[in-house]
Amino acid sequence: MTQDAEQEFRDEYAPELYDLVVDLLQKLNTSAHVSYAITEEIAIHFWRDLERLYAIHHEQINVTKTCSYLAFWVRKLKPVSDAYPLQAYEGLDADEQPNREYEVTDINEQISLHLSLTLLRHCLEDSRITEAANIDREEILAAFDKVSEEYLTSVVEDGMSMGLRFDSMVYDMRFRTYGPHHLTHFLVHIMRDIYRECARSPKQ
Amino acid sequence: MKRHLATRESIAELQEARKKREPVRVSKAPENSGLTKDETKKALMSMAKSAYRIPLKLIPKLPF
Repeated sequence: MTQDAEQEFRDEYAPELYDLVVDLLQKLNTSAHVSYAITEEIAIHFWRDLERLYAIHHEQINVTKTCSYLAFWVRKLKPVSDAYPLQAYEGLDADEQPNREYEVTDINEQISLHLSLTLLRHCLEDSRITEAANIDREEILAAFDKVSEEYLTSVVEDGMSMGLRFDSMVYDMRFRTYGPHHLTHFLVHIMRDIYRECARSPKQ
Repeated sequence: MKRHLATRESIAELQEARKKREPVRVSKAPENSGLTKDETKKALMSMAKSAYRIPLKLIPKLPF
């Protein structure tokens, strides 16, 4: 990829990514600082990885990989800082800082997981993948919502983990070795469960 | 356990065998397995339209 092409993608995608992160923070009822410079770095490194994957896989790459690489770079470069739940600001004056112990220190890991699922759902909403799988679009989207929520909010049964699967994944992303391939496994399982769900309850 | 000690002769045999090996052909990916570069770019640039909802249980709360 030429430097011009890289910069072109950065200039096009970084504002989109920045807005997405801000939007996700709003949905999480969390106030935080987002670095635009870091979103630019994410755009560049993420696209370099995709270019490499296209060189290896030729014409197509699986959407789960695209989603994982996006999450990987967000989790690695960490564009979000000083994150606090909005509740932490209640009753404070404008110049007062919230209690430090309320800081959401793993906000980047949380955001990266939500970003990957945002993209995965979007690919099912607006691509020929749904068409090619020969499943009704509304049906596959309903299955996505059900399966992803059930998976993320389910409890890890081993009694040694962090509670919800989402919390466990966030913990591992933050404190353990975590590559894009780990997330690809997770998303492939989500897709598999979505197809199973659709097969279990075919539309009348 | 049988040990395989390489000798100059066994290496030469392997090298000869390698020369005769046919390249592995990459089969064309099934058409529903992925997106092309243009399709991926299009999806990335319009991600904001995604109707993904964050489960309520995953919204950060204060510890009280």
